[in-house]
Amino acid sequence: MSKVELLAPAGDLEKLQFAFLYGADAVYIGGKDFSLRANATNFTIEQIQTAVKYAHDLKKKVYVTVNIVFHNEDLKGLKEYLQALEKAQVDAIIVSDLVVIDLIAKEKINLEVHLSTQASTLNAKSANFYKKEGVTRLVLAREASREDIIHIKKQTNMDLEVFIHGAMCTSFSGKCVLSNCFTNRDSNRGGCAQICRWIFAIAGSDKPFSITPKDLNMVTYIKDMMDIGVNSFKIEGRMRSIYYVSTVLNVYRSIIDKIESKTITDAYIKYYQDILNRCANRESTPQFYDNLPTNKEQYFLGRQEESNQDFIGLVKAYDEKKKIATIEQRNYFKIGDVLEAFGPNKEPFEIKINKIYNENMEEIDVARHPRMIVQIPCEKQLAENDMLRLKIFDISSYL
Amino acid sequence: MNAKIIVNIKNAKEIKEYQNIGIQNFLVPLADFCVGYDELTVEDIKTIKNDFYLLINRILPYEDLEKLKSIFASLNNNYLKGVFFEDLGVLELIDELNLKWEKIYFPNHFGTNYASINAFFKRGIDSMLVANELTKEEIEDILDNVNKDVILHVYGYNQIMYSRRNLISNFNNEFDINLPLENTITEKVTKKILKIKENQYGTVIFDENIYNNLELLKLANHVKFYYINTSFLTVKQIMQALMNKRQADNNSFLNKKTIYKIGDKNE
Repeated sequence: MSKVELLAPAGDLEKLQFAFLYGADAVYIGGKDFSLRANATNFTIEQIQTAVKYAHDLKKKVYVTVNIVFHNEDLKGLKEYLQALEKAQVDAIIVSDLVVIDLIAKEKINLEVHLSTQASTLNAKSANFYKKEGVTRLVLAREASREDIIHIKKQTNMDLEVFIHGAMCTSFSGKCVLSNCFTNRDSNRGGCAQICRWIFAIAGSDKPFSITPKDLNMVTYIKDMMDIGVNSFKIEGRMRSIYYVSTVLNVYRSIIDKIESKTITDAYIKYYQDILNRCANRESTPQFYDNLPTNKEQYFLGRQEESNQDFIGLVKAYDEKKKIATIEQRNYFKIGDVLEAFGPNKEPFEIKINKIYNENMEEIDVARHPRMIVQIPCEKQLAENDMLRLKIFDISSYL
Repeated sequence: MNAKIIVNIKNAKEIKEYQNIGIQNFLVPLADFCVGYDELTVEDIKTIKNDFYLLINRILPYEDLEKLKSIFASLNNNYLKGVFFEDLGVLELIDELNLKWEKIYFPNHFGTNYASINAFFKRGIDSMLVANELTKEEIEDILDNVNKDVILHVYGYNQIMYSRRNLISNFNNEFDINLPLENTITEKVTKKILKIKENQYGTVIFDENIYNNLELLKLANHVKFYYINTSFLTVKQIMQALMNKRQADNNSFLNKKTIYKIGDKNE
């Protein structure tokens, strides 16, 4: 078991299962109420119970976000919800509003509390305010620098959870109501309309003015963050696809494992960077960890991103005798394409498509229908829920 | 003039000007510890011979909290009544130094329900800003249920985004130009205009439409101060507003409930 936790988002039960399969030690999920990402699928109490049982059977953890900034009307039902989470034996809740902490203490509800990044914790003194309230873990502000992290760890000895990958707010989390003003959707109750991704004009220039940050990517600093005592590496994205979450987890799991086995090299780091940037269709950088973000950490002249159809298919089964994989198609592929298989606990490997069979075992030239079931020959063993992607990067060329 | 109105000042001379129109409470933004405000240096502040409150509205890294210790020591006189702060580290610092100032939590967008506000009061906060993305009904409900007096934002440009990023400087560097660090931006589709202001510690965006919540002056129960953000405004404009002679745009949420989930829009 790794000393550091790899923490993944899970927008629904399917994503939760993929997250654990692809190397997450814990997931964070939202209930139907009281959670940012109010428009994600999210979990009912019964689904949370199922998720916790599933996770605990794997000796993994489930944290539940209760991280909206409450209005008066939202207080109704909060106590009962927290009691239901206690009963469900969730491993912790992630909160930003002191009212939740207060209620847990008052009602003697047995829940571990982690402080959300919404609280914008950047120094040990504000961390201590919450430590006195029984908070055991801080999800630090995304603006925290390496020095801030070291200082907070040294002064508080609290568990520190740090975002390592995914989208960034332009603002300090929680310090923005652009969405409220433009769309009347409450950003601090999960309705953020991402106004910071819109394009503006600024007086005095005819160039488009953008406040959009590039994504966060901490691949190059994972070892350093382990060395300075970060306890949990958090990936953003409860509304992301299983392909995105699995790819990102697969990369960070590989990096952490290679660091712990002392087999990590710069070549692997470069390869993983390319995989991640391709997967998100967005550029990503370390943002605040090593420097104050400059123009290089922002998008200008619109977002230079192109969608791709790299996710080719999901492995549903593998026949070891016949060496045939059953694939659920996710994007168009054809005879002659060069794909790459990846999955939990396996190094990616190349598959050249020489034959494709439909469900009746008739040869076809192309798999063009979304979610159609096809079979392809594959000499190397695959497993259910491995994935196929277009082969863009060849690890051998990096080594 | 309502005796509970408090204004932020842009320089020490403004105190007299505001006193001339009957305003008696002053908030002084501390240089290097604020974003989105015209600030006063420690030396400027030492010249003030009236009661005032200090404003520290940045989220602070630890080294700046260390700097605050010596600043607090130098400002510890009878005129400084209390500190308005955004970062709870400041609360801890004041307690640690055993300073007898009023501790006023001044978070943007977080004082949204009475139970949270009361929870902060239990932990030594003397007063707290009520968020202004609330309906009048929500604010009244808060005033009816809080245990101590709170602060209501009643007028001025409203801070709607605070970023640690230097957004204008980054734009200037990207295109090798030199736009002023106080500017306006216009969203391309809606044509909505925003004010944007940057200093070395970050960037703040304000709604271009003035928030005119002066009707809240009628709510007296449990109000410590009615706050007017004077940024970008003159003393004369403030006076006109208070005399109801200024036709300010009003983009407040007093009668506009925000949507929690997209589905709520149709309910």
